[in-house]
Amino acid sequence: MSQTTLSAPRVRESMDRLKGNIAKIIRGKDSLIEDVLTGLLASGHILIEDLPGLGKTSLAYCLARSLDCDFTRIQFTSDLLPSDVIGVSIYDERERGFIFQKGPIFSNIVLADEINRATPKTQSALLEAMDRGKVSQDGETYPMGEPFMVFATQNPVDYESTFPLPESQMDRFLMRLHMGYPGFEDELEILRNGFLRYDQFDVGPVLKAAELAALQARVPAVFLEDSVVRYLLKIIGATRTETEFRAGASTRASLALKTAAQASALMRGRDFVIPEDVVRMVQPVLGHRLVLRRPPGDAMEERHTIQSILTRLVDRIPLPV
Amino acid sequence: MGIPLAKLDYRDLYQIKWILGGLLSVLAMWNVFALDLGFTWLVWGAASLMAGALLYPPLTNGLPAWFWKMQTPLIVVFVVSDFILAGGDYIPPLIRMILLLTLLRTLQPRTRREDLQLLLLALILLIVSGVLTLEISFALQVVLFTPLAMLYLFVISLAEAFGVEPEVPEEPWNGFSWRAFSQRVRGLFDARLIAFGGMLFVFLTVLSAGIFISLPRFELGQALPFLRMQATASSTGFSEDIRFGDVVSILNNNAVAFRADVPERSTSPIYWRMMALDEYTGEGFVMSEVARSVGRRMSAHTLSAPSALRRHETSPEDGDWTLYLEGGVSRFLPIPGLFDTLRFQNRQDLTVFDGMGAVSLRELPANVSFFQLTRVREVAALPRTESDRALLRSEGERGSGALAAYAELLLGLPDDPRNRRILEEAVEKIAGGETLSVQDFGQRAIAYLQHNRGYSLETRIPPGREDPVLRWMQAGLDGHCELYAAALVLLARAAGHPARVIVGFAGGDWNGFENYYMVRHLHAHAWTEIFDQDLGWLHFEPTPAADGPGGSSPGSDAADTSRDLGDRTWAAYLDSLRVIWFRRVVNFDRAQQAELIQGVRQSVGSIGEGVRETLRDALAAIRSAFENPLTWRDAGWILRNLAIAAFVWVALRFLYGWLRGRQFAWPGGARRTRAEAGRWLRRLREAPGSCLPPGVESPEIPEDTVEEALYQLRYGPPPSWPAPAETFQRARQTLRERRRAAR
Repeated sequence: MSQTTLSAPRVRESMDRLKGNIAKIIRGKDSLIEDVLTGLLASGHILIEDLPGLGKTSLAYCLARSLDCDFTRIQFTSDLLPSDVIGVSIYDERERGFIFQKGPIFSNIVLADEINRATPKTQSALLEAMDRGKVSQDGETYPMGEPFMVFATQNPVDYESTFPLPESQMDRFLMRLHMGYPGFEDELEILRNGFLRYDQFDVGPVLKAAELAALQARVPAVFLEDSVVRYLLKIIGATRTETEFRAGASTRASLALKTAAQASALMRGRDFVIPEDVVRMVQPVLGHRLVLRRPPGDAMEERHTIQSILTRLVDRIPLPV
Repeated sequence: MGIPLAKLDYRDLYQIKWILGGLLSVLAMWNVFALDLGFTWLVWGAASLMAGALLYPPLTNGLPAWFWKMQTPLIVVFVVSDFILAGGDYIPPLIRMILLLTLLRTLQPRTRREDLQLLLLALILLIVSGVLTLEISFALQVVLFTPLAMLYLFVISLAEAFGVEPEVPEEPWNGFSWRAFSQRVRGLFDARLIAFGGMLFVFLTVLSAGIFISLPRFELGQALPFLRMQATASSTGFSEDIRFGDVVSILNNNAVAFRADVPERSTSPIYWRMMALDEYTGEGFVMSEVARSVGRRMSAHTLSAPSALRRHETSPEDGDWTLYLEGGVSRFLPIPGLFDTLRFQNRQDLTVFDGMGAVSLRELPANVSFFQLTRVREVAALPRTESDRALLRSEGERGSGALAAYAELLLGLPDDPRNRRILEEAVEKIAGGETLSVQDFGQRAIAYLQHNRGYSLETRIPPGREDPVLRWMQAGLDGHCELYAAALVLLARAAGHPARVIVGFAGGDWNGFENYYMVRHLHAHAWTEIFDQDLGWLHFEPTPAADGPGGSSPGSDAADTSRDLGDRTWAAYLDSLRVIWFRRVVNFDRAQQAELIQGVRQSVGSIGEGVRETLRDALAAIRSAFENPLTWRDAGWILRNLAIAAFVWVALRFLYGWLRGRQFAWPGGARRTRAEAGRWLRRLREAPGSCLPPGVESPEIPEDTVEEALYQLRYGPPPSWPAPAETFQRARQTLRERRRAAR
């Protein structure tokens, strides 16, 4: 399947199929699923923040199962070593040499659970692999699987004995999303169906790994009209002049916002970006890259403040019509 | 990805602004060259600096900082000393000052203030030089200046919108190349914008023409009287102080001295009298002090003819003549014969010489002046006047007094007895002892003078003690008009007939384009008038005709003008444009206004009549084709017209398709389509029954709706666009339907 034969509506069709498959298990989270899939389409990594037990792992698991590709889960703890993530070279008696034993990161969908519990050393090993899409060990380079997506989760409330990710590493995630509580009706449905372990999920693959790669390759070709690019940059610029932020969004953030907006447009079957796509992606793409000049004690409160400032900035910039 | 949109930054705008300013100042310089300003080096230097800075703007980078610091004191010193040195004549130093300021503003880096100053200075320079010269090029200048100035103001406003401080960019001309610059500017061009601008310009021109036609007597010179500059020197001669030989000295000048609008072309050469030389000084003829002193000074708009040129009976075929006298030719007006009144465009200070039949302006006009003579009649003899009374023998002896003295003057001969003897002998030869009438004497004297003699401009009069004219006469050499005229006057006076030399112009080139006479300096001529007791002053042409030996005489070529179509060369065509300018613009009065409107009406009527005629013919041809058996001729006619119609239709379709295709390829076109789509989207969103969500949440655009197409046009890549015109039409319909449904 080449890039030229994939029309935007066909991309949408595939993504809708994927979305429907996940939504069968993850109830009432259509918007979140859409964001996750947008991140997937944009070949980005996603950080999901929320309290335990809200379905973060289930979402990642459903996504991996729907995709017909490898899935690994790494539970981050304070004693986890980098080699536990990327692998280790061990001496082989028969070969009389070191052989690289690939770690759990060599997979298509990697769920890095409670990433802030690992030491900074381990965190950076993971983040380096995420950024480069490959691992170098003993002079050899080992590429990751295709597609490759890290799905990191962290608990924003319980900060006891954690190592919060520094801003430079937060920047590696395309989006930060929040699970949120399910709605009343949705939770009622969950209760009626009873608790299911991951293995019991009735989720079959609806998209092959190669197909997904073709869909991802389609994103950079989505057209951005000049006024939309300018609008996007005005938003980025506004974060840079806003006095409440310690620093504005980086150039990587502009690129990320552009890619996310392109993927968002493609998710809706369009091969061009409209300003609303950009607006939609501002919170998930920029939220985790900005830090308040005077942060409040509570992390959740900080998130909300950043959110409301971003909303205010976006409202102030007129849409290019 | 996407189309390359031309974007200008402040530096680009600054460059465009700068070049437009340079163009304006160069354009304003155009007519300054035609002014007699003095300081030619200043005009040429300023023009070359302006042109240099325009052709290669980085040149101005090299001007040192002290130059700009010193400019104000230098200008003040120059201007003050210029005004002081110029004496009372304040116009030339004023123009020089404006010129200098324009030059400096053209060369210096300009912020908005200086840009506006430059525009104003260029405008003043343009108007002042235009009003002073009243040349046709002024009209062209204004036509070019107006759109340029509008564009200049537009770019200044655009540059202001940038709000950049300081307003002059850092090193604005670094790395400047015309090629790159023109490419960037070309990127801005947009067919519709150009078409719109062109239409606006045409509209303004038509509107101005309409206003102009409805306002007769457009007297530019009178509107700004302080700008009426007087020329300092005559370019040719013809003043009271004209000396013998002066007429011939201007004969090699091919420039037009004046133009004459006449009712019809004359079959014989027209003699344009300007002045009479009546006093013999021993070296030739001059205008006498007596003649000068009797001139009546007056200030008038219209005056009746001097008594020597007054008409006593009129005939209906006599028409009005209009003459356009070039600046600096003469204060004396060329007058072709008898007339009723002389009218100027505006009041003039004049001197009227009744007895001589001449009218002169008090000042030598610097630019074209024109006047109209009513009921003109060319005559062979000027009637007797009151001042000629002393010349009549029947009045008895001439007695004493000023008139008698003047009569003596008109019979003045060389004092030297040797000269007198030569003359007496010549008269004896001519008359042969008979008593001849003036007419016969004149004819015989001319025959005597022309005997074995031709025309030549280069005559070497042999040395001797006698009068030079007599020496020439005796030597039997070829000669020019002044020699012949002077010789005839001397002979007539020796025979007892008062006589005078008349100078002016003879003949003229007929302009076949606009039907008028172009009288050039080379048509300058001298001839003779001899007084007859009964008939008055008779006209005599003693100079031999063109085809005689020795070349052409000035007036001779007028004789054969009736045979050909006149001058139809390119130069004559250009000259005719000038006359149209004078006739229709400068000298525009109520009669010409009526004539112009009548002309427009007639031409519109005749076009309508022509169309009706063609349609009638076509219908008749079609009818006959049905009624009668089809002939080859009719079939050919039908086929030819069908082919033309088909060709026109195909060409129009092709053009339409090409323009539509181009629209997408042009940056301006794409941008416009996007803006239009954006407008429709907003209207649809605000209208009742919109299918788009109100907020900015990424909308699910409903499929197969007009909104989807509009979004595609607004934000999509041009190759994927639906047809814009149809989409906008659909949007209009949808909006109307939704509004109707909501009601």
